[in-house]
Amino acid sequence: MNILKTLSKISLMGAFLLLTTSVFAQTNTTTQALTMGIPEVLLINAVDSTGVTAAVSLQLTTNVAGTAISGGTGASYAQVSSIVASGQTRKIQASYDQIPAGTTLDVTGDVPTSSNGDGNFGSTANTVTLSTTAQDIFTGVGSCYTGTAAKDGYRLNWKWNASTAGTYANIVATTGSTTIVTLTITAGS
Amino acid sequence: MKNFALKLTLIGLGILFVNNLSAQVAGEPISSTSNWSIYYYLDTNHPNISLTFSTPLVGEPVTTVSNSDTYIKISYYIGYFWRRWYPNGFGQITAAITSGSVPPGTTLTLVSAPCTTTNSAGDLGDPSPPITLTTSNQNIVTGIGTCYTGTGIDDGYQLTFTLKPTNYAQIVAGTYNVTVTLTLN
Repeated sequence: MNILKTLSKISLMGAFLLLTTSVFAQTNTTTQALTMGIPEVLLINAVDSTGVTAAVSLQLTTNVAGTAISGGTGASYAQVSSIVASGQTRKIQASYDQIPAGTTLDVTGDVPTSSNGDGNFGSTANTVTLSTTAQDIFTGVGSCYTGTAAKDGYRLNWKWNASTAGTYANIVATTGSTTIVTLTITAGS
Repeated sequence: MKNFALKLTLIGLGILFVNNLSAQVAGEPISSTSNWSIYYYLDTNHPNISLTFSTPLVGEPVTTVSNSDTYIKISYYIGYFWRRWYPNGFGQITAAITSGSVPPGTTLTLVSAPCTTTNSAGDLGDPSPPITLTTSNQNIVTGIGTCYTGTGIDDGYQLTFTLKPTNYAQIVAGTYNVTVTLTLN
């Protein structure tokens, strides 16, 4: 009988503890809304190999009698910041306003390799002979940035040369002739 | 025996009733003498938070953006016996993303500052290291004991949300909405 009484007391004590051991939380969670925005970015700037905006000097000449003038080579860089919309890629195109008669201006591109940049730089076509109509130099450009230091960016290897046979007679000596090449980054694969 | 049981039950119900009267605004001190009870309340100042990358200069990346407008206010009470068992604090604040997705190519981190001291008192715990927010609960403050933070607009644990570009090729322009749920337990 005493054992039963003891067990009853223990049970009641348990019930008592249950009633008095309480965890109350009337408002223990809340929410915080965040709106995050990423703008489209579409920026391009042409610089020379020292990283400043300046003309690239190309010169055609020859020191060997009987040979055509040649040697008009140089390089510049297109520095870019790009953030694309969903499913979009971009391309970088080039065209010129005019070049001296009897000559051609070719460009070959190299995608950025500097550790100052990152992202999807796309790819480049083979050598393109420029004209007054914009042509693709780099395609498949996604979200990326090239960096802003000297030699950061899409490298543009310029080659100015006498045209193929048939137009050499049109070449005339000139100094300080300026050609403006327009680089454009635009939507499109 | 019946009288004994009746007394115990009435005492228990009485304590339960008195305890329930403690409902209050998060951040205020809790008045309780219950040795076995735990109470906790949490709220924030509910700011509108916008984390938007600025347009960079040409050749440069978008850069990290942060917001520190959110303050968590809590009230916490741990009865005497719980304090005996958990002398280093008992409660914790956790955070998790409960709707929406972080923009691709970015990470959203969260860190809490120590509780402000102007209107607070008690065992306010310690902030955890910064966390990268996911859909799983992660601690941002631990070791909370009996305490209150104050109820002023800038009282409490100041939270800093940081959006950072981490995989540039995956970044896509757009607007993204995320809900972060903060829990005190």
